[in-house]
Amino acid sequence: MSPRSTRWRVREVLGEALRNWGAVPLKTISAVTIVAALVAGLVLVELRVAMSATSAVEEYVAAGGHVVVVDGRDGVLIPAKQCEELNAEQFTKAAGTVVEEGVVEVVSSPGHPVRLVATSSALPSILDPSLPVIHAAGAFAGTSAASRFALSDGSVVGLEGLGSVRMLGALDASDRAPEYSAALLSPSLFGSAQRCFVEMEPFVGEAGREIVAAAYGGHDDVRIGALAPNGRFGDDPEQIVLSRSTKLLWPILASMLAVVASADAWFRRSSVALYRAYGMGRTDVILMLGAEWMATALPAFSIGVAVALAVQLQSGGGLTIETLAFGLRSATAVCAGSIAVFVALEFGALTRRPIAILLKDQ
Amino acid sequence: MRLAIREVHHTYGGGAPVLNGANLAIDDSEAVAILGPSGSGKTTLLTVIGLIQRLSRGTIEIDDREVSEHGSARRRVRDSVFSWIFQSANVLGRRTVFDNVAMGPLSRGRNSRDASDDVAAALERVGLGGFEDRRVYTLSGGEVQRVAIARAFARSTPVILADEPTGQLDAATSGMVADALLTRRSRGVSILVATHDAALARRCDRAVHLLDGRLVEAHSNHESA
Repeated sequence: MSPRSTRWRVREVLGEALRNWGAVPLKTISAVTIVAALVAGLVLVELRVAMSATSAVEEYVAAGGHVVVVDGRDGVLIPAKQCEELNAEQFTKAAGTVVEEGVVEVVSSPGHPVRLVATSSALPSILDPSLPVIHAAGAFAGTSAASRFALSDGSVVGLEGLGSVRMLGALDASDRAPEYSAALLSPSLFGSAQRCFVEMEPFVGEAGREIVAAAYGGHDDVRIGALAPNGRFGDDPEQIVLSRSTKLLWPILASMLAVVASADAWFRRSSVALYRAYGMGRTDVILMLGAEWMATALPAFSIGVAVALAVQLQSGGGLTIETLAFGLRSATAVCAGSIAVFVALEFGALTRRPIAILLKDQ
Repeated sequence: MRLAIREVHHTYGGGAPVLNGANLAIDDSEAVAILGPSGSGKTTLLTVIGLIQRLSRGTIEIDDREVSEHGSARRRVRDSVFSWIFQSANVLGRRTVFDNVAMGPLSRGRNSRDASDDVAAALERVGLGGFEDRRVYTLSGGEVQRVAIARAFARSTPVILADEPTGQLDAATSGMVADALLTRRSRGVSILVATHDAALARRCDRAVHLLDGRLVEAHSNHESA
């Protein structure tokens, strides 16, 4: 009697998975229902968070506190006068210019150059709203520069080649323009502007940008920046809201489902022993168990996402392509993640056990 | 196919040896019963011979060639030479009789369609023709054991290893199971049965006792035949 092929065909292994999956309909339906409910719940939460992020951005823009930045194309200087005149506009909170930038040395700290930024008188109070608009001659020190050179309010500091300048105060630009934290900002020292910052009043919205564009009308070399949807120059409220979303819950759900599926497989280890004794290799067993889990996970995830979308639409929550894509991406990732974790657990815990031990486990 | 074990030792962990120099040879078409009290190591002996448990020392030979203790060759021998009938955990209870018996041919690389004939023939031989679509959990204990025997038949290997195949059955049902099992000898299949069932042992060609990890000849029907 000559030995024939001793391997299960892949198609038959997958067939075994489907037949095992359908062998206990009540258990299978319960598993699909539970997983679908968990996924639906989480997708709904995700959609709500994403939608609230969108509305938060809209509200933020509507509430003003945003900034239009104007600068010249290819480094061309822009007229500072128009920027200063925006301070007289009804919806402008403040407008100020960066006039010129250079590098100087503080006389008391030779060999340590510091960035010197000449500004209009309003700019320091735009970068640090806690500062009043000061028309006196002098300089503000960014917090980092103040600490580095031990500069205090009212002190007089010698700047190499520029004479002495009085410190008007420390400027905390860490929220709005942290790039100036290590600089000295000196209003009204020089002429001609490099950049104009315009902070609009609340509720101006896109009209604020139009006001700025109108002020610079006729200047082809001037670039009017987009209305920045952020009161803080460096932050994006959409990212802030999304970053506190449920992204940690998805891997937790994926792992939880994988552990439950693995526990179910663990209670079937006598069946696994039988398959192994009847020629099914470890890889085939993993494939079979993974396919069984996929047969539960895929319909469950599809149903869960569909139910969540239906509930969202039914409740008038609305949908956008972005939020929909976000929810679907998350659901797909958790589905793939749970299968990966499941396979890893099975490989580690179940199929590596010798057949004889699995038989004793029964 | 001639199967032999020589000076086989097996120990679980650091405990006393379960097999302590066991020797046995089984010829083509021969049925050998292994007798012994519970815990004497009958199941261990079967799992060692069937290559699903490694031995601590000794050799296993098939057709006078030693079976390697490692690698894919060992698995190939295991899967092409042995079919199993376990004492329990013997079947997939929620699946149909067809599905359970089809495991035999499927495990030898057949596809479901081609396996149908093998399944039908094996079920006929154990008296379960027409049971294909029954769920196994609806069957009696004797019928379940015959499903396991049919699966071993359908796998078409030269050796069947059976662990207490009649252990939980009444005398009449045990007789039917033994009939089903031992008929396979006519196809050249060797059968090794671990059992407490004296009636089944008497119907085998030989019986050996497993005592203190060694095999001692109990009786042989060859001389009387």
